[in-house]
Amino acid sequence: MPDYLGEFEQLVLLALARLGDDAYGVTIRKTLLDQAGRRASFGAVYSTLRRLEQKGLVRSSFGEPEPVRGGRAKKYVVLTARGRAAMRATHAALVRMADGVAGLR
Amino acid sequence: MKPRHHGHRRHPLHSLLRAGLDPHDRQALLGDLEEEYRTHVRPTRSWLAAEAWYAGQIVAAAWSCRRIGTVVPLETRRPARRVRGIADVRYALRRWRRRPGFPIAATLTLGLGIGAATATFSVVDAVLLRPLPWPDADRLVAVHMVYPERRADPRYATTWNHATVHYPAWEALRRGASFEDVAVWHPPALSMTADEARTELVEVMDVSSNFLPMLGVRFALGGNFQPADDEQESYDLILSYEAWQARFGGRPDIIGWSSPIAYASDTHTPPWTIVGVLEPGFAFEGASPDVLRPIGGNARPFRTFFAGEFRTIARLAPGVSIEAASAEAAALIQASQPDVPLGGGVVPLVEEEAGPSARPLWLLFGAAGVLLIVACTNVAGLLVGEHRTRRHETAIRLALGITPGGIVRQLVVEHAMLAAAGAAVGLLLAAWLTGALVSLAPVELPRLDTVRIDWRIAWFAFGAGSLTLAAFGIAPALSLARTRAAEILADGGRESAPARHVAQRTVVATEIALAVILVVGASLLGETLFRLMSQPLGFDPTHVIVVSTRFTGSDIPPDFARGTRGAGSDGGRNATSGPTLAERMAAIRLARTEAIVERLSTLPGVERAAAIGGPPFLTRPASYSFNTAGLVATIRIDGRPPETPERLDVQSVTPGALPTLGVPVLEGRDLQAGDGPSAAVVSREFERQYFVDGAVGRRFEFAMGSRRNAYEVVGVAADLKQSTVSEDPVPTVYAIASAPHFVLRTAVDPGAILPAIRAAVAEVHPQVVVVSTTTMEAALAGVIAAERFRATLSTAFALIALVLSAVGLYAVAARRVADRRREFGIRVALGARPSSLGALVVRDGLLTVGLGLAAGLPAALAAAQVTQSLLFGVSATTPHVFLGTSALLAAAALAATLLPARRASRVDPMVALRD
Repeated sequence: MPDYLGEFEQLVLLALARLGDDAYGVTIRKTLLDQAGRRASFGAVYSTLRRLEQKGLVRSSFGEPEPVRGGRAKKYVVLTARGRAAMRATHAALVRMADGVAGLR
Repeated sequence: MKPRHHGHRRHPLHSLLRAGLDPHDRQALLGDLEEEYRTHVRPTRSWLAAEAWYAGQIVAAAWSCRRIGTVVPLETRRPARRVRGIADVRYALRRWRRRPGFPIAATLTLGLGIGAATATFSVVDAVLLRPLPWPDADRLVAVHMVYPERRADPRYATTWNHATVHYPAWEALRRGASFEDVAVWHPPALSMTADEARTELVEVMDVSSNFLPMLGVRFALGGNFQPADDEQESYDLILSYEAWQARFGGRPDIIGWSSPIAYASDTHTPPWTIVGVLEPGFAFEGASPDVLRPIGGNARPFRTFFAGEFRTIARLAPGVSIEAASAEAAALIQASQPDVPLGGGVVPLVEEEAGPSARPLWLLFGAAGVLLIVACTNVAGLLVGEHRTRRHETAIRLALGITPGGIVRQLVVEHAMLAAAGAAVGLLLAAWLTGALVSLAPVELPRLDTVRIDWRIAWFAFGAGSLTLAAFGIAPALSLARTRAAEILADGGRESAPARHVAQRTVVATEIALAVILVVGASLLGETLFRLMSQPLGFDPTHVIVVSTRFTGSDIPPDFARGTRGAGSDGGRNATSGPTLAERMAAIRLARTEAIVERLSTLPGVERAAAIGGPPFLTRPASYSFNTAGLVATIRIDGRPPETPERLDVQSVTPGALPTLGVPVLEGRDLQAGDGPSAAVVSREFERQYFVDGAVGRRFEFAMGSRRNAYEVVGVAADLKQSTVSEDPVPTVYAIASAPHFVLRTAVDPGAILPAIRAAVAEVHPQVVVVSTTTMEAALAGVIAAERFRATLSTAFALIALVLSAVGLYAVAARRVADRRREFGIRVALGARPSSLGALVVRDGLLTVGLGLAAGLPAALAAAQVTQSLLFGVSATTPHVFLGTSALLAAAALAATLLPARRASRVDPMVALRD
């Protein structure tokens, strides 16, 4: 049975997929805002990433400290294969559910 | 660009994130925040908005991440510390919502104690403790001269509150080794600007040339007086910064000006020269004079012993004690005037300024301290009771697997919340109470405007409350946490009732003992106030207005030849034979006084008006009391040998002054228009002292120095209180002469007439200025303000203590009845009368009160001795106060136990036994 994804989890996974290997807090948040019009706090992003990581849907690694970040490292996040599968499955389910519903297209 | 960017930003809120995020994630999140802040947020917003954004993100992150742990498998789950603390807070709130009595009672009680102690101490601190705002203020003292014979007379206590010396004594003191320097000054007096165009009042203060340097006062312009100004006539002036701004527009070329601010008097003075302008904000003893004059600026002799007294301020040499300085001062003062027995001493300037109000303030602070102890005791009592319900609940929680540490933590959180709530209530109360105290305080207390909440005492009171909570709430819980839950549950959650009852009774008895002290003190001070207020005044103060005026012109008749002016004032005759200059000036003054009286009596709403030299409670009349070498007042009755009056007041009045004040004329008649200056009405006390066989129709002569007045008595008036409500009657002579004060009896509320007075007086003579208008009732209130302050405050403290003890007593009785329900049920089942059970409860309460009284009455008796000097018409050992206090507490005990007693007598044996 594929993993169940919440709505915000879906959005974050999609953002990761769009960003490729430049996905970290600031860019994820910006993508959510630009593409989905969703104003999320960093806290919400981090707690969701943490949950997704615990489910094995994403993987993270730390970069080098940067001056513009007050000397702090970035936490880069990428999709795992399992994460990609979950995203596909959820999206497909959504499309199937929406198919033929009046007023959607 | 900026290398500093490598440094981590520190923010007080960062610690919030510690609970929910692991260190790497936290660093990454903070890095993201920083990046966003620097690249997007800060460039587009104000600093404040950006900071708010940053703080908001942190708080939101802390909130979002708080549940991160929830998906971790159960066995590895460890909720963060902070989260557990929040749970404890929630748990406490839930408990209290169900049983709000305990937290409300504890919070209010703590708040009352903290509030009262904080407010009272804040006043004490401002008046007595905070250092004066002068350099080396701890070495500033006041030197005073003592006439042993005068000080022995308590009637002068109110008029000689302040430390004063004569000029010769000052000269001697300046040579003393104990003093770095000694300065003298005259209290600021209202004086006037006699400009051609306008007449204004300015506050003038006379100071010696070393006065300002001693206080470290600097000058905005110009400089100080010269030392020579202390020894000879001088017409130099120093302006305050504020007067310079207001009256001269702050013009920079003011130094050297001949000032239109001239001190006008009967004599003409040369023009005054402005030599300096003070730095802004100069004030001394709460007054901010507009103008400073040198002590040589009073165009009359001032360097002799009899010329008058100066107030003093001195700086002790380093390391000299008050005692050593006092001894040297006494010797120097005596040496300066060997023919008069004199003494002297030194008091710290802070005490001198506070005057006789200092000790009562400490007493009130003591009372507030006792109230704080009562409050803490009451909280302790509440906690002992709370402990009982805790016991059972704690046992259950222990049985359910909560660790003892968890129990203790829960209690610490709960008590910290109570302490914080109590502190919040206390501070609110203190803020309100401090304002109330300041507005109620007698005006003679210095520096009341600087009173603010004192954080040290607020912390102290808060600490005392917290300590009580810890000692009586958490310590028992610690032992509880160690006990085995099963044992507690086995005995039904009850510890042995008698043991707890003894503890509670001890607590309440302590509370009652302390309340007794406060009630006794309040009764004594309250009775003092009552006795003062019920003293017959000898006149009717209701509906009387007092108007005080100053004349700013000259009384010297324009036709008086210039050449003879200098010799005129002491009775020198004019070239042509006729009245002396003094007589002519007196007639001019009297005519002006009468014109003002006439104008004032036609004001709508005024029934009658008259002038008087010394309106009661506002100004002393001309008073003759001294009997020192060189100047003797004598009174000679119908050829008897001259006597020296112990004290004699001579009141200058216009006809109708006595009926205006409501003073009855007992024999003969009142003064009438047409009576000459020799017609006199004397007071009953005067008649008693000098004319045992009736005064009306008799003659006497009064002489002092070159002054000599012959009088014929036309009537005898009732005695009236002149300066204080508690004084003995003073022999007084009323005779017609000019006077600067006016009394008006009104048919309507005096407040409605006050505004019209100033204009009416100005109509009569443009150079007569109204200095003040007030009602006689306000003056009377001012005289007893100190007593009213003490009585009100101590009564409030005593009432609070009484209510707290009654509540404590009620709580004990109610709990005892609840504990013994089963026993009472059995008793009733075995045939006991219900009323006997009620009596049992009441007896129990009275026993507790008895214990409290046994401890409290002796303590109160000792404490009352301290108040003796503040009392009037009541003794500190007066039995009825102590009996009344006992009765009051017994009544409180009855009232507090009545409800529990009723409950006890209605115990249904069936219900009680079934439980």
